[in-house]
Amino acid sequence: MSQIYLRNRWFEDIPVGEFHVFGSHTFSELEMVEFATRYAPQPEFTDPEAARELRWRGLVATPWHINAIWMRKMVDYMEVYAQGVNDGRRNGAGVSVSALAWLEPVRPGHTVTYTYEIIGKSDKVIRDKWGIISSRNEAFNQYGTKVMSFEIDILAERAGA
Amino acid sequence: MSEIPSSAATPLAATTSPTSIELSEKEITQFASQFDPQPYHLDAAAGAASIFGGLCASGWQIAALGTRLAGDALEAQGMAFVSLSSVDDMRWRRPSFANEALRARVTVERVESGSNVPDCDTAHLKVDIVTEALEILAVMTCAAAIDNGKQRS
Repeated sequence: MSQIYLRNRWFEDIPVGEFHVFGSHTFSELEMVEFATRYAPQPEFTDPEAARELRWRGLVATPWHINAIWMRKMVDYMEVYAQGVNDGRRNGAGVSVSALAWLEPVRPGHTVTYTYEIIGKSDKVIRDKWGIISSRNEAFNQYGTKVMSFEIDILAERAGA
Repeated sequence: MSEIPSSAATPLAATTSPTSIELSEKEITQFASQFDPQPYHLDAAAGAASIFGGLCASGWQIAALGTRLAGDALEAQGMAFVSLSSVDDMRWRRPSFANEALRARVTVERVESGSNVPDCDTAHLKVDIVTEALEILAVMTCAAAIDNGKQRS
């Protein structure tokens, strides 16, 4: 039986237009408060009681928490497809992010589903070895409403580099 | 709401956060094991062998910390920072290693009425996340939600 290896590929083998639904996460009140306590200590994000009287009428996830979970889901997804791979095909560092917007609040119990599409490949070669892959990433809540989107450039090792 | 013209003849001054945050190796690996479990964020030897040259923090941890520090810098200017609402562009310039004290250097380019965050206005910012030696770790062009004082209750 043939298997499809998604990450275990060189830069040259990753096609523009490829689309993935790569993970979902249900946000709990506890993890939202824990994240915000360190990174965004405003009561809207840390205090469920106080947040009811504040601008969103209830606790919401802090923006970077939504992206931190994006990262976790992405790593988990890539791990599945990179089993047995220990070379440059495995990890591509992020270079830059653009057009990042948080569109709707994420509340306790909301389930967010993450997608990405490969939207471009640069001709640039970094340190004689890495190419740059661009992707559009989106996150939707359980009602199908887009809550976050961004584009990211990551390094992917070139074949024979 | 005061409007700061982006075409101001004199360059706008940057404010550095009065606070700094230092990430220990433990905090770097804790964040990584929860959100970004890649070898160079978890293990010193793997970090040394990687493109980064050492165990380094997840770029998302730096973004989140930098945002907290940027909020502190805005508060120091009397702006009631609530949250980020968007990031036009963010670049990680170099890896962030353990025990580097980080600060945010923030320039408010302009402020406009309204935000997708309720009861807020929007401050357009340039944020540099820097070390004590003023080496730049990351740069962001972003929009922050600032409380406009109109919230009821």
